[in-house]
Amino acid sequence: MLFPLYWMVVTAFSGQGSLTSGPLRWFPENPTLDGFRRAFELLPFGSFFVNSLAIALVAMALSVTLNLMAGYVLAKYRFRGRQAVFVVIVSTLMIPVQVVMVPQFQLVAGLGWIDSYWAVIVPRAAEAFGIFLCRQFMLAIPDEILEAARMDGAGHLRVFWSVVLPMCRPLIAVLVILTFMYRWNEFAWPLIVLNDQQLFTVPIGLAFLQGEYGTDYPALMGMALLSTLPVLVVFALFQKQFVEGVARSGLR
Amino acid sequence: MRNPDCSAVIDSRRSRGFSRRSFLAASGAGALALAGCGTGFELQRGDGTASREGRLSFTLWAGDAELTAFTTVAEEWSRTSGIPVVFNVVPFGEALTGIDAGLASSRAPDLFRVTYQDIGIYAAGDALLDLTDLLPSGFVDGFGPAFVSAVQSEGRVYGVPHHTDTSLVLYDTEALAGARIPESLDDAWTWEEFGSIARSLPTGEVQFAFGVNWQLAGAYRWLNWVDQLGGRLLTEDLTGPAIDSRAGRDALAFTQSFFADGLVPRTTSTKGAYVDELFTAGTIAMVFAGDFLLPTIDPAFLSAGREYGATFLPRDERASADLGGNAVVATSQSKNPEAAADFLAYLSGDEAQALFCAQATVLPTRTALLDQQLDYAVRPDLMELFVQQATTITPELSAQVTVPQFNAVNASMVDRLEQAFLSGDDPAGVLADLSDDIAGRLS
Amino acid sequence: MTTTAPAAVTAPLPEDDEEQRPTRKRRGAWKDSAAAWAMLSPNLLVFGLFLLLPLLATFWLSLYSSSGFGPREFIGFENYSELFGDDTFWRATLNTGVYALLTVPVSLVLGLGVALAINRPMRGRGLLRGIYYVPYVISGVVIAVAGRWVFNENVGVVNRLLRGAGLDGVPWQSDGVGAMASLVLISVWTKIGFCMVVYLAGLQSIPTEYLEAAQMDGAGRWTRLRHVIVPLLKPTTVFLVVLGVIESFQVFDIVYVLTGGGPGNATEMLVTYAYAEGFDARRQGYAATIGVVTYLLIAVLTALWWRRQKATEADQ
Repeated sequence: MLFPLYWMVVTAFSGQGSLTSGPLRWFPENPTLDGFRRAFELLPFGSFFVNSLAIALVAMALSVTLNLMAGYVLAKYRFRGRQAVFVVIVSTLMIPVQVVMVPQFQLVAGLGWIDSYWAVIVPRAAEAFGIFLCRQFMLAIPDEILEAARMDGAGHLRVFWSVVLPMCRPLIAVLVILTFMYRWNEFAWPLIVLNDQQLFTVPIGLAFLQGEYGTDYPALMGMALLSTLPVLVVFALFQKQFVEGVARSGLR
Repeated sequence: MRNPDCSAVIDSRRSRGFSRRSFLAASGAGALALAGCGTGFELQRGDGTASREGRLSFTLWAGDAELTAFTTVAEEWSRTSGIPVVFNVVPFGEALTGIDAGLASSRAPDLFRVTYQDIGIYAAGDALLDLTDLLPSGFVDGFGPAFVSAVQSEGRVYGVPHHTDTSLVLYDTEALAGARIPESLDDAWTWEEFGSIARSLPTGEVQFAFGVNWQLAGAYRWLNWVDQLGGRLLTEDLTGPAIDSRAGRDALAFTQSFFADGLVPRTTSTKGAYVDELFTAGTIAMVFAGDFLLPTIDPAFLSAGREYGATFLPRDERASADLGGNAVVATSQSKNPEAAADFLAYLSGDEAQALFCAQATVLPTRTALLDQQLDYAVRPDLMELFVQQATTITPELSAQVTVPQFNAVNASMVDRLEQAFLSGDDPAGVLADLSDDIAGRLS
Repeated sequence: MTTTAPAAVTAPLPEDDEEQRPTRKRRGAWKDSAAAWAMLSPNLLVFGLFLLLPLLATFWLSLYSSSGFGPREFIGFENYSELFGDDTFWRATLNTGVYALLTVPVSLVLGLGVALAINRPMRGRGLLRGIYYVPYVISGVVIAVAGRWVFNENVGVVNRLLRGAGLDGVPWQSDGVGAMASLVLISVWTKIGFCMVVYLAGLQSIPTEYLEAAQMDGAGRWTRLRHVIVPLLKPTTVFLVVLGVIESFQVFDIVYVLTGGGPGNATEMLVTYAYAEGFDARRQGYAATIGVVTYLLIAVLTALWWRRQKATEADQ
């Protein structure tokens, strides 16, 4: 289970070419940082990290906000069309991105968003799973509390902001961790809408580290391991709340 | 407003190395001018890669050596024309996906690099600029006939044959020490001789006689064997299948034996893995490989202290070779059609082509260059053999692998040949299935 | 977006989940349509524009023969009739199902196993947790590249180890079952850690009194696991199953890079098949058809699951 990971680490610190030939080694023969050095020399990975971070953070904030609001409305409001909206959203719960990639691209191009972060951020901001999770979680919020807040004269947004959100910390943690991870690792879509190297994200950079002939394994593995750090940091920060969020996600 | 010269430059299938130097050279501005390029949050219309007036945008995949050559040629052309060329380098695997998306949403670049097998679909889809009247008169006559037919569609010219490559058999000198190595096209191995040499080589769980290069987009290379028997994939008028013939069946039966008898790794069938790394690792003693692989294979052998040579492809009734390499085309969406045609003519003219081929170890398509000794960067002695082998590329075969629907046909070949090689299905049955597919996809 | 819904809806909505529980009155439900739509609108705008509209466009495209650019030809439901007779499509459907049915349960069971094993105070547990989580967040492209190399039939580490132990190497690429196994193994490896982390959390939220009480009643470890721990972890399990199934349907990078759908069509998934038809064979119309049918299949599955979910909710 941990062996492949260990092996990736060994690879990252090995010299090029010492891997595919000769006997298996449990430790790099001469541990070296050359793989990392080569990666940073080949491509501006520093700015790729900045881009990825900017995209993942903004996308996460936008996505979490939109989904929380939608989930709240679907859980706690009654209006004509509510069921229809919910059914349509749930029906797209498991839809693969590739199914709608081409029309989506045309739309983004029509908006003039190609080669801008918006092209990566906005189309994925409303996601069925996020909305669904929010609704399930918020169904468990007692109506009496909302009612009481209303009696005190709080408006719709006010109730949402000061009463509902504070109760949703665990849910927000789940959304933050999942959204951040998915956005951080997204590959196929950014590759198509970003043509400008200035805007590239880390996964695109990783794809370029493996030529179809002769992959530079140490550089690739080194960067891949390095690129998991931001996600691990986010995970560490929200871990405790995340746990509670899953337990109370209202899925049975 | 963003600096229009920011361009993406990356490594690709053609190279393992990629230096910051070439990145800077290609980024037009000559530096990573972050300030000039702005951030992705700036919504601006028009991007760094779509066709815009006053410059040429060029989407391509390119390795280090290739990119340097492209840049050199482009700078030379810009000096006289005053029009900058902006490169957008993408990985080979995703290059055409991006082009397709761009075409579908009117954001195509002025120019792109394309394999000969893929030109047809773009020409048929009205995606390409008709260069017939834009290129200098008589210019097209300077290319070999096989290449001219590859860039033509219904008598109109839609691209310039930028370079070609073809395969030879590379062999590990030590492993083949006792075998007869052909030294001219005429005394190339017969099928039988090739088979018996292969069978005489040691095989084991991690040791095989040779490897073939028919994986994925390269499936069409298998057709060499059919062509050598005078067989055809498609009918003379290119409208239907002709593969279910005696020649087709014999060629398939013979090539099936490679897999059935354990001469090649079972993992290298048409959906399998590329073979060049197996050759450098010593897993296979011979490999069918294109000239563009020399820059990768050569250093690996050098560092391992081993030697390798090259010889001609086996032949039967006649010799045949695969039409590799690429054309460069302009899109019908280009806002600079005259400039695009002018650049293409320069790019594929004698002088620029000689420079490109020498640096990137690929072969010329200009007949004038065939008799010249180009100054190849890697193993010029072997490149000489590749040049000779390329003369056996037949116009008949070229015409068949460049029909508009060829990529759909090729995809079907990948599937069907896989059945034949791995499941050992009967050649007649496989070719009947393949014929049905082809008939459906050509209609 | 404007709506002409009346400000208050008095008639109870028949399919309201809450409505089926007459014991609780829905006093807190706000009947303010305008506010509801206003708060929904940003989400609906993005959702409608970037998902529903492209979905409709996909359906429209499935009625055409098109290479994605240039002229296209209206052919009605011809793509659909071809699809229903297309062995590869059905194989891809089956593969997708098999992949999900293997990957999800195996990663859950193993994840729970590991969680139970390390659910005791020990040094460095936090670090271990982090390490286990790493495979889940490594870019899929890299996982697949590494996998191609680890599982290479001829020179890969796995087969070298097997042969070193005097066993035969496994035909990871040349045999359909082997190829599927390599995909499932790699996918399970990426997910175990995540499942474990989530389960560990679930375990720690189980009150110790429960387990102590069960122990007093003389319940053995296995009984406690079956009758106390597993039922209490149900919400966690459902969460992981839903997420796992979603991810299984969307699996792309790993398959595309590791097996390319081969050998034969042994590991072709619905998504990779659609992609190959659309971008390799340039049959965008047909690819769209695969997409539409995939969407419908998934929608039916989701509906079935949703009905069960609501039934269990009503029982609670």
